This record gives sequence, C-alpha cells and structure tokens, in this order.
Amino acid sequence: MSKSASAPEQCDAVVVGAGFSGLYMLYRLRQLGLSVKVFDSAGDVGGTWYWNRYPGARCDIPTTDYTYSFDPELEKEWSWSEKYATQPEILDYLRFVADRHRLRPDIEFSATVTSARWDEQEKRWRITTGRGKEIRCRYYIMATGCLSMAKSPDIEGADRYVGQVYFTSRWPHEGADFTASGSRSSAPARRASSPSRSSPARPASSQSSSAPQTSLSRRTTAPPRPTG
Amino acid sequence: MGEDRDGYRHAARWSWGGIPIEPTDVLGVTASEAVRRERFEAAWEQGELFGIVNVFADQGVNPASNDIVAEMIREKIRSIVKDPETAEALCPKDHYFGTKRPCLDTGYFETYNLPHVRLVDLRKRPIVSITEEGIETADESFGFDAIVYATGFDAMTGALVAADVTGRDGLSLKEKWATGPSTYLGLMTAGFPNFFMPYIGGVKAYRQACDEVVEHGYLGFRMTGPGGHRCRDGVIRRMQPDVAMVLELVAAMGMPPMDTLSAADARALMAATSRSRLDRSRPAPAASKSYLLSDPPVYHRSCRLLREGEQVPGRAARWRRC
Repeated sequence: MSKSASAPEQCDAVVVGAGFSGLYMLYRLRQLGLSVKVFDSAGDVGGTWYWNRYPGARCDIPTTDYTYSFDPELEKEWSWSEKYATQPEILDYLRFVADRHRLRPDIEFSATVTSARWDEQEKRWRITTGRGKEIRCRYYIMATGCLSMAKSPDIEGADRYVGQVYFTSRWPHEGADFTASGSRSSAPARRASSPSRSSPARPASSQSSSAPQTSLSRRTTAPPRPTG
Repeated sequence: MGEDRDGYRHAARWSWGGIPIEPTDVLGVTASEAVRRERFEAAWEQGELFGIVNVFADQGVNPASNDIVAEMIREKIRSIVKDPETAEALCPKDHYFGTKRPCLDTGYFETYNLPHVRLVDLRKRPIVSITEEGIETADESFGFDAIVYATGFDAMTGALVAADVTGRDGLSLKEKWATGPSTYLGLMTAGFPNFFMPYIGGVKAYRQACDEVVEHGYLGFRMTGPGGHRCRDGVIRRMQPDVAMVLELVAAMGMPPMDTLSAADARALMAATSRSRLDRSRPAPAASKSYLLSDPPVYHRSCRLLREGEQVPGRAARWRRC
C-alpha cells in the first residue's frame, strides 16, 4: 500500500461501481446526509452496460421493469423507445440519471479499488485505489455486480494468436469491423457476428456529452483484454 | 405500465422476480396435452422470459414437468434449424430448462441456416489449442481473422473477492469464502464490519424477510424513516449498532459449509418439497417451523384475517400456523 504525504482523505461511505446499484447507493446515501465517494474502473457510469456493448446487446426483460422506481418524476421524463431496450439506450438512460441527480461530482472514473482493509482501532475501512490514493471510510459498499469479472479463456495457446481478439464483455467503444478483414477468405470456416444494428442514440433530454459509439465501421487495432 | 404507475410498481415489488405477472396454477404433469401445447405455444409466440419460465407452475421444481417444456423447445429448434446435426447441437440437453438463462431470440436460431455460419460442436470436437492462425479442434484446423470470446464471467462473487477485501484479524474475503460464500441476509458477512453487498433484489421473499424483521423487532435492524416513522418498504435506512452483535452470533453458530447437500440431493429435496407444496389436493407437510414461506400477499392477508378472528378461505388455509 502506498502512502500519501498528506493526511488521507476521509468520507462516510465508499461505493465501488457506478452501475445501476452504485448510482442508486450514491443517491440514497446522500439523502441520509452521508459524504460518499464512488469509484469505477470504467470511463463513465453504466457498469454492465458500459462494458457489454457488443452489437445487438439488449435487456431480456421489458425495459419498463428495468428502470429505477425511486423517482416518479424521473419516470415521467424518460420513455423507452423499445420494449426491450438496446445497450446504447440503457447506457444513455444511466447517463441521464447521473446528470439529472448530479451524481458525477462524487464519482471518480477510471479508478480501480485495489484493496480495502478494516482498521479495528480507527473503526474505519482503508481503501486504496490503483493510482495509490488512500481514502478512509466508515461504510464500504461493493456495488460491483454479479457479472462483471470477465473470464479469460483458459485455453492452451490463447496468447499465441495473432489475429484480432474481442471479448463480448469488453467490446471496443469504437465498434469492430469484420467486413474489412478477409485475408483468410480461404479458411475452412469463418464466423462473423451478425451485426444487428442498434437504435440511434437518444433522447433529446439527455445531457450526456458522449453518446455511445455503436458504429461497426471502424477497425480496431488494439483490442483491450479484460483485467480478470 | 398504463395509468396506474404506483399500482404497477407495488405489484412489481411483491412479484417473484420484479415483474408483475400472474404465476400460473397449471401443473405440467397433470395438464392435458392440448393445454400443455396451448400454453407453450402462447409463451413461445410471446417470446418473453417470464412467460417461458411460467408455462407450468411446476416446471422449475418437477423434472417431469421441466422435460415437457424442454422437449417442446427442442421441437421448435429442430423446426427452425435446417441441418439436423446443427439443430441437435443447439438443443439443450445437459441442464434443466431455466437453470441457465433461456435464449430469447430475434432470429438467433435462423442465423445457423446462413451459408457462412457454421456451428462447431465442442462437446463432440473439443478445442485442442489456439494457434497463431486460429483454432485447432480434435479433428480440424481453422484460420480466423478474428476471435470473439464470449467466455462468461467469474459470476456472483468474482468482483468481491478480486478486490482484496480484508476484515478483522487480517482475514480476507477470498480466504473466508474459499469453500463458498456465507452472508447475513445476502447483505453482510461476519468479520467485515460495515461492509455491504447490495446484491439482493428487494422483491418478494427478500422483501417479506425484511418486513418480518421489522414486524417481530428482531435484533439488528430497526427501520425508521424521516420523522422517526416506521417504514415498511424493505429499504434499510438506519442500522443499529447491535448489528455487530447479530453478525457475531451468526459467526458463533458455525453454519455448515455451502456444499452440505450435493447438487443431486438438493434437487431431489427441492422436487419433493415443492411437489407437496404445489399439489393442493394433498395435506400440508408436517413442518416443524411455525410457518412456511410462500406468496407474501396471501401470507400477510391470511395473518391479518387470523388475527381478526376470521376464516381464511381456500388457498390460504395452510397458513394457519402463522
């Protein structure tokens, strides 16, 4: 654990994850008058819906039920364009919620919590992030989700492969283009993903500045690997 | 959702999985072939998750009923996918239907009829290795421009144990859960003070448990809302200091490890208990507990009626013990 020269930051509660549950925790704990800090390894809110952005990704229950119910006003201001919303629309929704309730100021993005240790004397959790930052808190909440640690393929030779590698759970934000390939057209079998197009980004009321890129036309040169 | 937003949300909170649907009473094992077929076709046509897992009341607890649904799904797959070998490979056979997330498709099975799509059944021809060029199976070599891994997740506890969480006496969550996770209400775990895991959906059985904690004044939780009024919505607003005591008591109980029952034994037990619960022509099991866990609205209504000295009608009669 690294030590900072100045006194470590303090807050009442640290929440890990800025997806559905993490955003709600922040909202709720603020209401209780607690000081809250949220960390997320992603570049923005969204959690599951930030990472799993492969073409055609959708919710598999009606989106009406896949919606926050804590704020009736919020429900009035948002309407889903499809019964089973696509990933870009769900991500837009979470950005909309974050903006509407001004949640972002208490969220630190691109920050991974590397360790959390309970200090029995101080009765505080000592949280350390990947950047070496230390923060102490009374309550430690891991809103990290059930399906967030991608499993790397446990297959012999996986590192050897020189072609493009993608993970559905870490799909590149700029999309992937399989049609521009073709150097191996003589291969016995080629399996391209069928690119069912996603609906356009929306809605007008969203204040998000960075609409999710769903274009399939850009080639990825350096696909990210999951950290798991 | 319609006009009645509040009513809809209320129904959702008391529903089994957060979506207000009416659970069916129809048992797969006793329904006529015509009824089975009609219910399945309607659910298939509708294409909704909660429809296809609600064809029969007993499909999740009685293997015979589950087989009926599973076989009708396999029939559908065989009717869509033209190549018989591919169709068979796509027909789920190694698990009960619904124990894995069902595939709700928009043209998924039809995709396998496209000329440039081929399914390689790794159950029959396992991957030997990945090469520089592509993938090598037991009897074939493939060259690919790209490989897409849909290899899943370290589910449920993966992110929790990956973060190096260390509680009292230097014990890490990973060490504590080496033989499986143990929690209090799925929310906390002994030895990790003020550490919370907001994983539990606040619906149905969990909501009922929260209500009971409040109603019976159990140690650990006192739900208070603004102005000190009791709240009954299952949202924990404040926790008393004695939650530490509860956790210590839980730890002292020395709960058995998670694998006390093998998967097969657990399934048999589940099937046996569920059969007796669902078959209303049979008497209620002689349970030692003071009540059985089931449909909370029925339960609460029954409790209220009994308290008021009224008769509990029909279906709710078995809640007399409460």
